[in-house]
Amino acid sequence: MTPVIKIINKNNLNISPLNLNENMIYFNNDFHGQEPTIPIQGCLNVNISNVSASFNVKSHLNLRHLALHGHNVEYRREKAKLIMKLRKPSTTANIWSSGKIVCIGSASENDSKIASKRIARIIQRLGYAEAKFSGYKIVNVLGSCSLPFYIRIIQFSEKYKSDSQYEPELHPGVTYKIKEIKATLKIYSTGSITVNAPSEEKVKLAIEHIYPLVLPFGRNKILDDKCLVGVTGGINYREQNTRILQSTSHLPVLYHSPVGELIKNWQLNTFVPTVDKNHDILLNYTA
Amino acid sequence: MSYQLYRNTTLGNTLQESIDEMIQYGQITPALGMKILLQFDKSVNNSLATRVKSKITFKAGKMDTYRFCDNVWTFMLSDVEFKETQEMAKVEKLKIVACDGKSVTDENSKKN
Repeated sequence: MTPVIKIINKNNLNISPLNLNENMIYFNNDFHGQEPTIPIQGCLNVNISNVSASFNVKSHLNLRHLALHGHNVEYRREKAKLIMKLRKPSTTANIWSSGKIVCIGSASENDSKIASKRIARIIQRLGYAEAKFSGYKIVNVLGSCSLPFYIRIIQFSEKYKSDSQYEPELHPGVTYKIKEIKATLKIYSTGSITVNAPSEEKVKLAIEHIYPLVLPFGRNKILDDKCLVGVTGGINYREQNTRILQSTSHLPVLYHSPVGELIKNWQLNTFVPTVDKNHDILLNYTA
Repeated sequence: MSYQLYRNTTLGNTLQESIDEMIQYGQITPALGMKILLQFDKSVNNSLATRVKSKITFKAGKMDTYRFCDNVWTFMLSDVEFKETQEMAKVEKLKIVACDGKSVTDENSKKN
C-alpha cells in the first residue's frame, strides 16, 4: 500500500487537502500486533518550504552602484556581496560582483524561477543592459511532511544501518540518505520527515521511497493519545484549520474547514459527519 | 570629522545661507566660513548625543523600501505616527537616514 502523495506549496493553501479520494489512503492500524484500531483516512501532503537556485547575469556588477540605486538592498562589504529581497514572491537574492546570483527562500520551483527572472530584470534596469538570465539551476529543495503515526526511529535506524545515521546527542532525528536521487531525509520520532533533494519531483520520490520503509515502525497515534488526531489534512491544513475536540463517543475529531467540501468528499461510512453551529464538523464514530 | 548630515536641517541650511551671504559681502573669508560649518557639525553631533533627553516614539504603517550601503541604513516609511506624551503628529512619508553611532556620535535620524 503506497500513499498518494501530493505536493502543497505555501502559497496555494486554498486547495483543500481533502480534495479527492485519490489523495486519501487507509492506514491499516495493524502495527506490530497492537490491537487493531479504527482505520484513519489520510493523505500525505508534502509541503515545500524552501527552494534555492543559482544563476548568472554574465556581466560584472558594481555592487556599490546597485546598493545606491536599488530598493530593498543590503550591501555587505565585508562579505563582498549584495543582498536583495523581493516582497513578491518573497525571496532573498545574494549577488556577487562576478554576476553570480543565488536565490533562496522561494516556496516552489515555479516561484523560484519567477523571482530569479525578476532579480535579473531589476539588475538590467539598474544600468546593466547587457545582463542576461543564464545558467539557471535549482540547487536544493526542502520539503517536509507529517505522517499520521509516530516512528520508532531507533529500531528503524538499526534496520537500515547503511543508509541512516542516528546520533541523538547531535540531532534528534535519523538522517537517511537515498543516494540514487541524492536526497537526504531527516526522520523524527513524531512522524515528521524533512527532505533535502535537488528538485520537487525528487522530494516526492524520496517520500514515496521512505513511506513503506517507516510504516512497519509506526506507532499508532490514536492508541497513545486516546484521541483521534486530525490526519486528514496536511501540515498546513492542521496548523490553520483543524481543531481537535472531544465529543460524545470519546474518539471523534473536530475539523474546522469549508463545510461543503469536507462532507462532499468524506468517504468513510463508519464516520458520520455532522456540522455544528460554528461550522465545525463533528465526526461520530459509529462502527 | 563629524557627520555632515545635519547641514541639511533647517538650522544648518539657514546657517549656510548666512555664511554664503557674509562671504559675498566680503565680511568673512571662505576659509573661515568652512571652519564655522565644521564647528557646526561637531557641536550638533555632540549636543544631540549628550544634551537631548526627550524621547519620542513613532510607528509606521508600512516600510516601502530599505537600503544598507557604506554603514548607512536608509528607510522609506509611509503613514508614520509620531507620539510624545500628549502630542501626536502624522506624516505621510518619512525617510530615515541612520549612521553608525559608535564611530563618531550617537545614532541620528532626520526627517524630510
